[in-house]
Amino acid sequence: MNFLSDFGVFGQTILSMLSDPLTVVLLMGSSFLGIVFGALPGLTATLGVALLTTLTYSMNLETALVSLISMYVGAVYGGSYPSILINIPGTAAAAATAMDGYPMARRGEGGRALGLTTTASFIGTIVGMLALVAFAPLISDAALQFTSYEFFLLAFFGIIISGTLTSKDLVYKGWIAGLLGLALACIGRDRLQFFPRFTFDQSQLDGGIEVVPVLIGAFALPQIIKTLRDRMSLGKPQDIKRMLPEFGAIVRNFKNIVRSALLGIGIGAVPGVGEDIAGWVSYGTAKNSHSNPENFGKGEPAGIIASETANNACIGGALIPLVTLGIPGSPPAVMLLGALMLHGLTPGPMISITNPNFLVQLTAIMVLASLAMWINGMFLAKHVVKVLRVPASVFLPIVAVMSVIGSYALGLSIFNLYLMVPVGIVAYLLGEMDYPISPLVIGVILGPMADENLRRALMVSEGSVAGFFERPVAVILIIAIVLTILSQLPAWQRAKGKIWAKLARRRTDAVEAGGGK
Amino acid sequence: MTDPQLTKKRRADFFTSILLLVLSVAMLAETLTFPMADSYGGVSNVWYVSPALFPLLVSGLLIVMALMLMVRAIRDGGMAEAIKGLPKTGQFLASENLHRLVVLIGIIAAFVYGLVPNIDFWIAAFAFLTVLITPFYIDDSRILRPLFGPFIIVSIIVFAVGRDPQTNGAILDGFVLAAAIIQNLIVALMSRNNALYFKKWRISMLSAVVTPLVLVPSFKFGLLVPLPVEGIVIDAMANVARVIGQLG
Repeated sequence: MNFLSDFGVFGQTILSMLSDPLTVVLLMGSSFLGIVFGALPGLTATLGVALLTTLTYSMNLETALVSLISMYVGAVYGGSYPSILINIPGTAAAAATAMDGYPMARRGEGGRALGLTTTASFIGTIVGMLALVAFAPLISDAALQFTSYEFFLLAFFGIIISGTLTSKDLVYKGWIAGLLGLALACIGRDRLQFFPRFTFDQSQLDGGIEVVPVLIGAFALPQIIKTLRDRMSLGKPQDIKRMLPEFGAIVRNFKNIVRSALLGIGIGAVPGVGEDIAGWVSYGTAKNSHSNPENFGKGEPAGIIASETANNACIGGALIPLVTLGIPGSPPAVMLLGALMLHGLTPGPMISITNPNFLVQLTAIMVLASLAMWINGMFLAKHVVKVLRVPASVFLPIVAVMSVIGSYALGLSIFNLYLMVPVGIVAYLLGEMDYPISPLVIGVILGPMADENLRRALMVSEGSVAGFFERPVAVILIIAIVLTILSQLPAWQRAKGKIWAKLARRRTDAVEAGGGK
Repeated sequence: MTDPQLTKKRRADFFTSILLLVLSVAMLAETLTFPMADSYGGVSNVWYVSPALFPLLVSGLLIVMALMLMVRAIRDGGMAEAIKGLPKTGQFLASENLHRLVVLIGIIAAFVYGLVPNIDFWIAAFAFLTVLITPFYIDDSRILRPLFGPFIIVSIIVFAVGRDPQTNGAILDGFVLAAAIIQNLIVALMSRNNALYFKKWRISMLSAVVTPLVLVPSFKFGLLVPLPVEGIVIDAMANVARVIGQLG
């Protein structure tokens, strides 16, 4: 019965949205804008969702979500255009697509490559959505049993795992970024006793720092500075010629698609680890399990399918922890969380009680967004390519003005702007030194949750930490945190290396002994 | 055997670790002034409900991480490199990359702290875009000269004077607008003998005019979000909108 009523809401949502011409225009427009955002190198899905957040502030929640999700889906897909046509990924998520997309375009198969990407991205988004529908209620139900212990550990685990997996250099750079985010989150009056912390008698800081301007600063300014500083100029795009959906190739790659989508969902669900990593991991896996791995990098369609299915499947994956636990799974999902909070909706286990239809609505919107993306992709690809002629040095300053006015518009406070600039500069400098930015923003978002729940938990147990070890989920989380940290210690890695070496030696010994017989 | 790229990174890490250590110790020191186990606002406190608990945890962990980073940086030769590099600071300061970075950050900061709070948003955005698009699009350091310095000076003047809507609002708006127009004319003059430069200047100038011309009405009339400062240009737009409204 429950399923039937859910399905009813699903159909109703789709119908009501499609019957409103304004929503349809918004859906197609945001999706197209998303593709353009993804396609322009220097603009990312995160930035697109950030700027759109300010524009959709005055809309109702459902309309705003249509716009934001279409932008997200479109931008993750749009990154593949310049990857394929000029060998410069539009977003980090599409970097792996360039490996085989560009060689294909050089061969004159640009249209075919784009057709493959379009359909693969569509399928990826839909599979991701199915995962969201299947898993979110289960996790939500389990999370309803969570108490302060679990929420504190969950927030902590989210920051640790995101720091561990996104750090390009030393792993503790990721953790430092996360801690800096938590430190920023401490600013303002604390939630339990309203004691002003680090406010330096500035009344504007009493309410804590505003999340959205921090996010815009952390994502937009580094991108603007980096691109303008490096004088990025784009080559001439390759020809597209004819573009078809390429269903045949998709059917032949069925196994590849399923694997890539599952990888994408899994990676998306890990806090802060997003589309870019999903694309690369899936590409690598497809290469290793392909019958002709040497074709990869020379224009192998399976490579494109792997990375594009995975990066779009990542969206649904990233929404799973966002909807169920209030922990964003990827950088654009961080932004999406910021947008939802602006609309007065705090995702988390309680959402299934306060907004029982939210998940179904979200699913319906994702279906529409992926359809819009596919239609836009199939019919408007040629026009999107024209956008690639706009030089970065012209559109990035425009984005700078939009970020400034966007940060201001949320709350009409110039103080937000004063905050945005230093955050952006620090984020830029950290990025230059190979610190990942997602743990930082996740820290800013999860900080209040971690703080409040730690103290609530200790209040319940009257100051005893034993409470953390008495609940099964809490214990699992503690073990996961300890293992994540231990696995990064040099001593542990050396020991692991030794064990592997010993095992390998034993195996070769055994093989040699066997061969000697 | 050592990778020069890595040593360079560790040198930066060495400096960062010192900065981080200072910051986290400062955070710890500030946290220690928070009420711990005594009463605040009439509520008697216990250590585990204290607002200091979480910042203590965070700053403590930050100190540990900063020390780990420092040890690693020293072990990988970052400190040695830092000490060796000190006499070469001048060379580092003269590098072109750093110059571009300083210019970019300077332009953005001048816009946000100087112009946005004091100048009509259309004019502020026009002046900002003129300086941020033109030199980087044309990509010739000569073009940057008449744009960057004057822009910073104008912003500092505006920042120092401060807007008073009753008295100097229109004057400040006019001052910044005139400066931006003169800058555009200078660039046009400088690039008049080079067809490519001239074309790029035209595109930059158009973008600088059109962008705020689209953004300002969309926010003010579409989203009903007032702009940070509404001066001579936006008031004129509002008048036009009113006339159109009356006609319609």
